[in-house]
Amino acid sequence: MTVVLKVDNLSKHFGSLKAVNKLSFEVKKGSVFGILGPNGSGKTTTLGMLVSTINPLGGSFQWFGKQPSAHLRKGIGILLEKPNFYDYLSAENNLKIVADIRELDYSLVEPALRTVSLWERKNSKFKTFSLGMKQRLAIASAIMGDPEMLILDEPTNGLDPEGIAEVRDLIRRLAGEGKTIILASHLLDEVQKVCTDLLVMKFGNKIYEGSIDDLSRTEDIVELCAEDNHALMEMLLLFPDVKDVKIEDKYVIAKLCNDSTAFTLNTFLHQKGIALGHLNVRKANLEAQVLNLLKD
Amino acid sequence: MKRLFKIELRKIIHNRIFWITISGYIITLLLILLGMQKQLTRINEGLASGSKGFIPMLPTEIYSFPHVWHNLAYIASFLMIFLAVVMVILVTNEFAYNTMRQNLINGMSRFELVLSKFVDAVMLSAIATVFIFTFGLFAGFASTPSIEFADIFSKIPYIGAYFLMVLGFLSFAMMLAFLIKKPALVLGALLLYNYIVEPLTAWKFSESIGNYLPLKSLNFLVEVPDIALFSFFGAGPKYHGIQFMYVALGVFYTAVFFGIAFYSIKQKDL
Repeated sequence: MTVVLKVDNLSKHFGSLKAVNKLSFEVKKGSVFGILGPNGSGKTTTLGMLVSTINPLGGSFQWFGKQPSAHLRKGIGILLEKPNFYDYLSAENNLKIVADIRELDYSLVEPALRTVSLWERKNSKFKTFSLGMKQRLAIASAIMGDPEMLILDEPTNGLDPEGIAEVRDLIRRLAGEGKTIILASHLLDEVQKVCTDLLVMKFGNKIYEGSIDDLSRTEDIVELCAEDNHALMEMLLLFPDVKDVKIEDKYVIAKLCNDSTAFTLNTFLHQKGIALGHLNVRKANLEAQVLNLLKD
Repeated sequence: MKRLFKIELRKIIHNRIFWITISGYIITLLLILLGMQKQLTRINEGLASGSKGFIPMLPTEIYSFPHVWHNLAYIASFLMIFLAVVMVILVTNEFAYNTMRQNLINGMSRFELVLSKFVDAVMLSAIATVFIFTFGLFAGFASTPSIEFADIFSKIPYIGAYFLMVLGFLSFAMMLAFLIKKPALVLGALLLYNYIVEPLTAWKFSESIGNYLPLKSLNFLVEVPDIALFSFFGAGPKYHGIQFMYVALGVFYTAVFFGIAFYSIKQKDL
């Protein structure tokens, strides 16, 4: 697998605040790489350094094996935070300026505007747009010219449910075309639906990096019920691959880890003389997993 | 460079505030220039009738060739501050709307960000210069008594000197805008430096560095014209003609202002 972006020990401090602290990660070609973390975890600062608006304090990163440069940025579709355009210029003129900066042909403006359903409003001034339309124009600007690499920071910000679904479809379609996408979001659901890989940040530190599947696979949640739930609980604590046992209503809930299955757990309990009246296995959702990671 | 020119042109052509301020500048300058000749004629008539013709008349032919180039450049230099206001707006707007940052993200280098604003300064200076050149041509032909024998272009270098003076002054305004970013504060700093700090410094150090301060030395590019009108009000030229040293200083200071503007955003997070 080709590495598109390699980040090595990147740091940025604002005064005594370590916004990003010795962060390292790699983004592989063709992956949809999610960056997750609560507000203030350093996501936007990290992306800011990757697109050169913020000067790093230390560390380095390479795009396509090369040192970052303005020329490399022209080939990356970037959407950071809120859309920034000249508010007295029309949608079309704004994109023509972007085309000039990225040295793209003006003929690419029309398809970009059509993709985000803004072609009919091409002559409207940016300041007359609603927040959702502004965001869509920013998406059009990022995808113009069909870049192989995209960086999207909260791309569904300000969009209505229909717009959110459209952007997700767009991201899936782009990913299907083999493009590499870095997607920062605090919406776990959004990340789970489209990402293949994940970086979780907290207070500027990396707390997880890997594929989404690995993260979801590591833990299952089991829901059990026996005649004597307290005896069941005590028994469960003896089983090595179980943790976080607790009673909820009439069920005992536990986390099953290290590739143990419901089958091995059931066999174990049976040997200890406990008959189960109920056994249900749930895949832990990403939300629970990430919240768990953030808690530690 | 052509690419940056195209980008800036597209921004300026559709910018209503730009056209309003530029029109304001041109109309004001036009009124001053047109009114000046009438005023001089009136003063002359007053003097002539009051003194029964003994006091020498003020020149009413300030627009005749070849002196028109020098006179126009000198009169127009008092309105440079209008152009500087436009310059400041063009730069600070990019910060206010975060488009400076967006252009960087889209693939401009930090150097190009400053260069694109310098392109604005060049365009503004060119507009101002073309205006006084055109006015000079019309006024010159209208008020030079005998065109055949006139020496039309011998003082045309003053038009070039005016261009450099405006460009240097706008580069100074651009630098302040990059350093301070907030339009009101930039304008405050510009006025404070232009009308108080530098004149006081120049006066205090008139024996030594006074004449080499940035704005003062730019002003020496187009010196007080050596005509009776201005000497009547107590102003006289220090030099005659355009001094090479001030041309060199003008180019040098323009480069320094550009360099400081670039250095300031090279260091900063946008």
